[in-house]
Amino acid sequence: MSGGIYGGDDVGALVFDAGSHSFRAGFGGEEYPKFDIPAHVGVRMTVESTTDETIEAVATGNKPKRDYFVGTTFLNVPRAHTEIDTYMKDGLIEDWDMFEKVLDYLYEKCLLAESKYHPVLFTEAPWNTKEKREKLTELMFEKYQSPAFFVVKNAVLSAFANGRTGGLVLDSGATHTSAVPVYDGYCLTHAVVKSPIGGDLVVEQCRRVLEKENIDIVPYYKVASKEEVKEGEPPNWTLKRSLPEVTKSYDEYMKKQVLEDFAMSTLQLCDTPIDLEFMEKLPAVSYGFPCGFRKDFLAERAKIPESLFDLKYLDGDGLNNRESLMNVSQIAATSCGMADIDIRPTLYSNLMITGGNSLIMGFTERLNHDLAHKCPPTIKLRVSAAPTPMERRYGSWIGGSIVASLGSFQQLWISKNEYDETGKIIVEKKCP
Amino acid sequence: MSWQDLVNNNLIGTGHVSKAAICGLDGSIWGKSDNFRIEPAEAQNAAKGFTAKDALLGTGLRLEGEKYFVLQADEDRIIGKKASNGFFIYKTGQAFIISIYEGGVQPEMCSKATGALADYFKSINY
Repeated sequence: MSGGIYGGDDVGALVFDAGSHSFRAGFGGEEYPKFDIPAHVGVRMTVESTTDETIEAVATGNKPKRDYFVGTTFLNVPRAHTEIDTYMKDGLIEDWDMFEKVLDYLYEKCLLAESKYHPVLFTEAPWNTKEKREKLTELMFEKYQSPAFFVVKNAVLSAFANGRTGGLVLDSGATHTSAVPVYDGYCLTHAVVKSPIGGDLVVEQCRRVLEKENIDIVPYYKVASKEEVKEGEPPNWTLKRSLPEVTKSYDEYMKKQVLEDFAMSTLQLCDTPIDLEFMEKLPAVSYGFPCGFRKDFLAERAKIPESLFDLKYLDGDGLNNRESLMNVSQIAATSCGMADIDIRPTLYSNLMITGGNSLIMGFTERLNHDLAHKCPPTIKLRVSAAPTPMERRYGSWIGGSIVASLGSFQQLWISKNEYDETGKIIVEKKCP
Repeated sequence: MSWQDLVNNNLIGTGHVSKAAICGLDGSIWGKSDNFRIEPAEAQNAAKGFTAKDALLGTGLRLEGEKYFVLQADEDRIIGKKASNGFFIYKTGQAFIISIYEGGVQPEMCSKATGALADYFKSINY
């Protein structure tokens, strides 16, 4: 009763990494995921109504129909009545119908693969619940008829991608930052610490700062044409005609794209807790908005991301649970503190930084400095981070790709036979 | 079928488990494989682990006098490791099953074999 050997070369395994900002998908054994689609989906409810009352469905009432728009090309088109929604919540899959549509899109349009020929490796958050794992297992085997399936915690995979089997994985992503101790390929789930600060929070702070300076954020779908203006002068642009009446969520989503781009280009973190001298010496960065407006940004460049490391800088009006938030270095220190005392030296000397939000300039240096102050002086602290942005964003996907192509892993898959015999609870037994 | 037979056939017999024991929830050892030198005190410690998880997670669990790091502990299962060896403890209605894997046995297969026996126990109300 073995799991069957799924040859590494002949049939490619698929690796799926569902995150709160994007969904990464590709074939195992490759260097980077071929597909990186946003975790947001456009949902349009159209009420089909005909006046032909001989049709029963119509006689009983109008039937609402839902259209889903997945992927950047479909998502970004301005449409009437289309809300932008996400199927992720808190790092876990929440809306399964939407998620199915995303998988359908991936299989049909992107991967161009039939699901029943490819084993699937999924990543999951370390705090994933039993019900969700079982539901995912059921979905993949029943609907997609996958020949084999496995789930691995994304922190373990990020560690593998960094070339280690143990250490503290600090994942700073869109919706939250988490510190997960990994030992010998296993997550210490009780010592996982997470806080809802992350890329989205930084973007929100940017929005408030820009609002206070009375800069109007115009998303690019509205701009028909613009003219070059000098820095600081009011923008000169024309609105596109014949725009459909878009929903508020769509507008917000498009504005968020502008803000994300702004955050990526301008923000920089100071090596040490921020002071006036640093802010004065900071070079200005000029940013051009889609409407043509240009401005130089000086002190805000450092103040906004400072809120990740020092919550005093957080503009918290309207944010709930502000007291329960922890800053990034506290998250790391608390997590180490909750682990077995003998493992702690390993964790501190193998601290791995991953996640899209960690790409803010100066993040690693700042974390290094803050932690050096927090942890006991006898412990050797070594912080490592993948050099390229691609490796940081796709860390757990790359780990999954490595695992899926290992010879020793091929016996560990949950095969369709095992699922048929034991049922979905097999995932709890086989996947640690 | 004595407990000893169950240990030998369904656990060690599969080849995926190196040492095993079945104990009652009070820590009493019902049956164990011959090569397993588990102390009664250790079994009691493990039993307590299901109710007082945090103590175990901080200090680790000793089996045969060796200390294993406790990696995960929830209501049904405790996972521990020490270098390339490790253990799985699955809890059933009235008992818990300790399985140690070492020397090249795959952890996932050990988990599967132990879990299968635990499910069987639950189905016969043990």
